[in-house]
Amino acid sequence: MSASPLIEVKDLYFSYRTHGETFPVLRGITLRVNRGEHVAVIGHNGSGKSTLAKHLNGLLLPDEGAVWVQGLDTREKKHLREIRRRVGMVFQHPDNQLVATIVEEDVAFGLENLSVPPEEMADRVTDALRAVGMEDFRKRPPHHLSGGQKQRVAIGGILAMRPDCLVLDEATSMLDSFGRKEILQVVRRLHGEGIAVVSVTHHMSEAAEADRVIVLEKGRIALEGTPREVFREREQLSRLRLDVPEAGRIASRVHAGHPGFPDDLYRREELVEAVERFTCGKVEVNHG
Amino acid sequence: MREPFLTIRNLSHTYMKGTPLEHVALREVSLEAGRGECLAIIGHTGSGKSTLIQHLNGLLLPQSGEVTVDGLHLSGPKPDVKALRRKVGLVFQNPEDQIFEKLVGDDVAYGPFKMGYPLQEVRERVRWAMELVGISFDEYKDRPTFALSGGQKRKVALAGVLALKPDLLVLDEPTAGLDPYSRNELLNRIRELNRKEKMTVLFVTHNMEEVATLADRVCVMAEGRVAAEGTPREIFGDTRLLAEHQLGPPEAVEILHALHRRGHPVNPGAYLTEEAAGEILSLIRERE
Repeated sequence: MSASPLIEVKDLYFSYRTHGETFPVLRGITLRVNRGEHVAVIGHNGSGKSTLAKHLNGLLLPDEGAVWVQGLDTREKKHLREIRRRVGMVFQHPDNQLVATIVEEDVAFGLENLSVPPEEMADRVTDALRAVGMEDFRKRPPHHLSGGQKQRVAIGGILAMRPDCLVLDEATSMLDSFGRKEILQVVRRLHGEGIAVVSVTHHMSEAAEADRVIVLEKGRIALEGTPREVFREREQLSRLRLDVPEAGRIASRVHAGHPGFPDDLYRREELVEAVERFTCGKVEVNHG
Repeated sequence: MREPFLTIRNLSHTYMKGTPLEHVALREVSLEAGRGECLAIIGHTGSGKSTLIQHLNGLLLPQSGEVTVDGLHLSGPKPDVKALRRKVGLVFQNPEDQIFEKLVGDDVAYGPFKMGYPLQEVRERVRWAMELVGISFDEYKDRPTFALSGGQKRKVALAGVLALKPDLLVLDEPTAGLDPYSRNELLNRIRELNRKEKMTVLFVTHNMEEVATLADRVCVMAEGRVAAEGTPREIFGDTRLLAEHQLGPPEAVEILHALHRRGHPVNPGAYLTEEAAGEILSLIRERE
């Protein structure tokens, strides 16, 4: 057996209820998020992604089954504060999650509930702002920042709590590719420092950056694997109303016109490198 | 020459005028859209995009300058806002703010009902609008709105506006938060409305893929001014313009820009997947 997982989800069932009717959303999800792992969760609208994400730090509680964060059961109220410190969430709308009038106060907000001594607080805020590249904005009001900058501040607020896992619930949906790149850089850096990242996303190019991709359909896991394993399943993905990253679509069209060109490239850098290999002519492919 | 459908001339707007918090949002903006045209407005947070579109259905009235929609002048002392709102449908960014009825069907019916259409016509319009955005009327009309996913809410909000069959459809970030399939589907539907039903469309977006597939013309806003205007091809091909306004181009363009930087003679304005693949193919063939 491998070391104990950071987050363990077992046979998770969850329904929304109203007017005596039940709308099942999650129907038996079992998964693990390991320490330092970057997991992407994709699936069409209504497949249960956000509902699943909200279970990872006890914002929603299972009807059946269980979620443990380093062994702490989210159904036990006494653990919730610690669970939410360890697993922080960033949501879709940049404007809905900034609460203070100055960036540094916003980043410090979560710490005030954790009884961190004031001098340590200042250090943590500095570290967090540096980690998201927003130290120059420390004294600024957040409402004039761009969407990407606001999301970086929101991530900073979570980092100040020294979490083990960052859950991004469509945190880049409202951003342009410039803003997405800003967030992606931050995620890469955090991932490099050993923080686990779970990103729920509609952008296949973001999922291509993860260690592992989980595809949800009707509240169940339909497909799971490395980005390459998952994106190879074009037909199934299209049935699930998903897609491959743009780099992959381009690669397969190039492959169609030039069969020697690989058709399973999904990251932008991979594609650019492959083009370099094919155009710089004499580079020999030695391996294999 | 035929009068354009929408004319904006020298429109300026200042928030909190005469207070220490005074903030100039629009400076002498001039813009036109012909009947049946599809115009994209892009630009950073705070560039004035939202302030601009709030003038189009009379949520804001011109402080100085003119706004004319289909011959209706909004600059006079008593503009006919009611008539304006029959012509212009505005879909805001956050769908959850626009949905207030308990059931999906009732929510979509609210507008046409208030407009005083007979019940049978209201029903027909609701069915038409829901099917148009890809939500089955029979399956969803009696579903509670709160149990919808974010993407489904967005579609319901859009259907509520489409049910009014406006001449000018104004959309703020229409596909943010939608899965790839729903995104394509919605873009195709909007394009159909635009091309077939000659509905004039104006949309604000962060998503350059959206611009690429939908827009006839793009207007780049910066600091309350129109900074540039052109076809998607002209705008995406202009590296300096994109960098200056921190606009992230479509992924295909980014890949081509990356190749261009490495000295490959590709045309970075080729923003469609097919075109980008074609550019790469001709690179590869050239070296053989």
